[in-house]
Amino acid sequence: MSDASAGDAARGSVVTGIWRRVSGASRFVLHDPALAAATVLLGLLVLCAIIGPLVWRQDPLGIDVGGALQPPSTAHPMGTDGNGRDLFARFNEGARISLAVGAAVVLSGVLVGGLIGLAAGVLHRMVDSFLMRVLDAILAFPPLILAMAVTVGFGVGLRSAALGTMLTTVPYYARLLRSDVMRIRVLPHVESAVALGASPKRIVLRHILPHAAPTMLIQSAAVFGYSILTLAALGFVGLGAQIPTPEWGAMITDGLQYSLTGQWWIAVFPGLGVLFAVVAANILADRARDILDPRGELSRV
Amino acid sequence: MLRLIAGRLAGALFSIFGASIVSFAVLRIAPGDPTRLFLGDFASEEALTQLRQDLGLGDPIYVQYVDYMRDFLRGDWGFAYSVGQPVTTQLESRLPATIELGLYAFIFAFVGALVLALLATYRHRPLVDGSVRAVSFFGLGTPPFWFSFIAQIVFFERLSVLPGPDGRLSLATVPPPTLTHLYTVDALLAGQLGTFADAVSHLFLPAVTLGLAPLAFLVRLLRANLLEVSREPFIVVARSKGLGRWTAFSRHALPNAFLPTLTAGGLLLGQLLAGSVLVEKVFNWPGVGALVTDGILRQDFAVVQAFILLSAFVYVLVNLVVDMLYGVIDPRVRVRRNLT
Amino acid sequence: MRSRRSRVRIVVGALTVLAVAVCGAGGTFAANDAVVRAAASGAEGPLVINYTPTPITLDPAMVCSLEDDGFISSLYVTLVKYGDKPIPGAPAGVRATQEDTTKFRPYLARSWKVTNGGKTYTFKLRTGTKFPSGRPVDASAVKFSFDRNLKIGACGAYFTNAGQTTGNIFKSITAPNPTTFVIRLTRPEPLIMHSLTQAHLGIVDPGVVNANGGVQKGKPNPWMASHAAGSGPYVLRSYEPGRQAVFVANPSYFGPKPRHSTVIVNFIPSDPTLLLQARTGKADITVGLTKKSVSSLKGKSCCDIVAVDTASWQLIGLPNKVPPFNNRRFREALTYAVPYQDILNKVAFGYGKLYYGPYPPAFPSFRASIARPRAFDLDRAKRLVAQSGAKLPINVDMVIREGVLDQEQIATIVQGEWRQLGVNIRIRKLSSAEYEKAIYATPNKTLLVRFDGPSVTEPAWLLEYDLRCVSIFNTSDYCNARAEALINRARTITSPAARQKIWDDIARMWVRDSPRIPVYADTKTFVLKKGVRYFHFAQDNFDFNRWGK
Repeated sequence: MSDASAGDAARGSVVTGIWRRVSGASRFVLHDPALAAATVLLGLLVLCAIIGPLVWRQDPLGIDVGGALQPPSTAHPMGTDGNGRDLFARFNEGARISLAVGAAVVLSGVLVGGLIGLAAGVLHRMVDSFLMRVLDAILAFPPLILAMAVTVGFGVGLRSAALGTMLTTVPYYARLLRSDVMRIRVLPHVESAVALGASPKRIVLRHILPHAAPTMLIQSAAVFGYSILTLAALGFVGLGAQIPTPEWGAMITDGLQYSLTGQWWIAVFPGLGVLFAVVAANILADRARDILDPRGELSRV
Repeated sequence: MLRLIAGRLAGALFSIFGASIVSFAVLRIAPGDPTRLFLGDFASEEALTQLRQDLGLGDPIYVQYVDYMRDFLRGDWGFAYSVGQPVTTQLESRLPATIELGLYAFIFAFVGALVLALLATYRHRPLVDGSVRAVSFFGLGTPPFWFSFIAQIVFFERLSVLPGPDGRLSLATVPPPTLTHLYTVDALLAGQLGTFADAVSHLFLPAVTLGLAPLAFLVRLLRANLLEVSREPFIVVARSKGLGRWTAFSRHALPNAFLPTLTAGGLLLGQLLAGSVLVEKVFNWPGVGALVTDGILRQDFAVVQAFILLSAFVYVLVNLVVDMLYGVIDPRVRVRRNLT
Repeated sequence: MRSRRSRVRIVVGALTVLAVAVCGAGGTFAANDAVVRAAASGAEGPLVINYTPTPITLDPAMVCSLEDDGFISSLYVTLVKYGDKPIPGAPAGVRATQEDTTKFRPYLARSWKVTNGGKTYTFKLRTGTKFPSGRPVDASAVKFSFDRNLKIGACGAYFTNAGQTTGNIFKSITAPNPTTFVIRLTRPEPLIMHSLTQAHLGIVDPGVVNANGGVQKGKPNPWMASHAAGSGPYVLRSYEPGRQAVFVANPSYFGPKPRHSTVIVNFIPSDPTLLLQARTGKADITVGLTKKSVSSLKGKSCCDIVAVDTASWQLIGLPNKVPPFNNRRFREALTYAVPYQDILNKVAFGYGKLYYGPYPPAFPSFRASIARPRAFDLDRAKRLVAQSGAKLPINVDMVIREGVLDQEQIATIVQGEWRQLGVNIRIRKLSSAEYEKAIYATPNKTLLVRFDGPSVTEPAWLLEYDLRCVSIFNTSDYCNARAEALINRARTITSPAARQKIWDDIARMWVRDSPRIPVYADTKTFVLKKGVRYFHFAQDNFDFNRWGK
């Protein structure tokens, strides 16, 4: 076979390979209604977040005091709020914020918590004990209170809210990675790698992290949902995003004011947004666990 | 065994102190001057300075911390300036409300989880199973403050079957004579059925809202455990020996599946007591959660710190008890522990 | 098989019993309601008031906000009270009156004399009045209360000192005999009579105070923060901060019996809840409902709305010391860029009055010709900005207090309008503690939205803290030496006409300088359940004893 046709054949097999994987995955998803629903929901929300503001051109911050409190209509699919702002545009912007912050919290939680857990699992026993005690101290805090205290301490706003939420996830991730490391350390091939004189860096990168990845992934989906809920809770209390940022939790609080004077749409839609995002995340976490860890061995903390 | 307990206690104490330090630091760095809030707009400079001195706001932070801990251990938990009462009195009056709510939420979550998990696993009915799992997903994902608002609109405003957010009792109902501070229990003990019904109807929505997430969590756990256990060989043997399905379930499968649920439940109880903040706000429940939220927003440190210390203590205690219980109930755990 | 069926039966039975209990309870606890109401307080039943915000303290020496003053006022007696006048536009069937701040009437003081060029006030007190403890309410108790306020040095001291922040006005406070009380001032100060009507000057029982922490210089008394030691129409039977207070009639009160012998005050911070309870008739009177919720009750069969023009207003403060806000034309430009009528309609739902001046229409000294409202005219604003020579764009912060919806809305609306002038506002929502710190910063560097109003509707009182350059409560840092000189002169003048001329001159100067922007004067609203026929409004004193069915 000449080089060109070898290349062609290779490319062809890559394409067929991808196609097989995609159709296999979609068949897999379609067979499972819950997973399909979750994917669709999350996909819709991501769509709203990314292209929503580009397609739906209304200004989420645009005030029109004359057109305040309009019920849902074709001009305003989700109605308008007390200042006349279009709620659909605000919903999209809110999706952007919630999903982005959720992802940021998860990523930073994994990084910080993971590092701590790794250190605790790999380094000396004294370091481990000390780190665990510190984490216990943070865990002893009711999580919402910790997030609130941090937000007040560092000045109210989206950034402190994200920071506070991230802090509450750190002990969780740290514990997770630590127990994983403990488990992986005693696996035969890792022990033999140590015996063969592999450097700690190599052991961590080549053995520990790949084995720990599934657990972290599974839990991250659930933590993603949790962080969206917590951000909304902080917004509800008034400590999260500040005006006029359209964050879902703050929008729900705003809407509660109108709950009894008949303008139901202001609080209902953002609430549904939070609900769908978190439910989808949880379903994905569940399914990920089913695939990667069917016997639940990995998630024992 | 004794060394284990001692070790755990030491760790627990460390956690509590650690939590207190963190909370102290975080709250003290908050910007703004609370003294003017407490004394009012027109207070003289001397009065403001005096109060700042009294609150120790000028001292270095470690001095403030030591003073605070010393007073705390002596029973002086500070004065809540934003409300005009000592912190101990405030907590005393508010704690029963939160405890009662948490208790009923927990009962709802536990019993509900039991019923739903049994429904899902007793017989192989994919539809029921699917709906139970759906309930658990929604329970975990619903923002409680949003759910309670919708529940109120439906059940109070539209259907008028349940009372509105006016606290633990209707405005004109006299509380029952105080024994346990829990209105439902006290009303029953005093034979006041009307008051009992009133208290229960006020507890219904908040308890369901608060218990929804724990219910979802427990359902998943119990269901998974039940499924796992029911496949175990000893169950199969029992059934093949002629034991009825229900008896096999109740006498063999359930107790074994229960254990991890029990420990999770223990942890949840601790969290319920602390996490009722959002629910209390929406239902105007006069509990500790609302107290603490207001304290944080008004930078009334005393209340918040006392609460954090208290809940850290409860959390650590519950953890300790659960750990001990686990060791007592499941002998395998004791053995396994010694190997690690 | 059999065991399972019986198990199911048991469960179903239990559920049915529970359902019946909860639903049937509807009847039972309604009956319980009636029994409780009747038993608790005689034939008319208690007056149920839903109140927000929750008080910070009950101590007359410490209360600062209008709501806290109002709350304790029926627990204490003062030397004098204001007269009455009707509330215009009160709902049909409701006898609603408000205070007339131009007239004083005797209360604890039977009569009084002003001598020595306005520097000596001699009060003759009623005899035979007693505190619930049995101790007489005499001149020594009055002196004790005054001295206590001054010694503690908090808000009570400010009011006792007739709102003067530039030094103690008292030469001496004496009680030569049990029925005579004499104040000697260092200079004439007509405002002292107004002070004497305020809740801060409520007379406390010296025995009770001394038995519970006494009086310490510069320190609040923790016991007094949650207890009452007065001799007013009511005594405090129980108080759960943030939750409920119960007032019961004071048998040894010298005045007319209160309309209701029991008053239950519920503190409810959540506006939707307040609204719900007002709508469903759970509360007789609702205080503190937001205007939005109140407007949703207009015309509903459950409730009557009493609306009273007050001496409070929403304002946008301009930092007069920070360029370009130190430029008069620029400030004037901004005053034409606020959609006043829109805000009044959308934020205050019509419950307010527009004006442009140092004090609102509720002041007896207000003159409509001087304080005409400014129009919303963006073109004029742009011209004035150009004339002022300010360099655009201008970036500035606007500070608002968290938890206050009105401020948020006003800030957002103004942000949108001023963007078109080239003024970019960054809104910062601050916690209460931070907000206080920010607005009292000297000099002020940011815009601010503030709800403000004096306790006494006298320009002398207001301008003393609002116009003086050194006052930190002059949150716009407005300095006008000529106006200050006029205020000083007014102290020595007793003729009402001459004083009015001074206020008019000051008002004209103020209007010309455009130091800040009053958005609207507040009309306070109270929601009365149908059947509540008596109501009396006083800015700082909620006389619960005069409210009722």
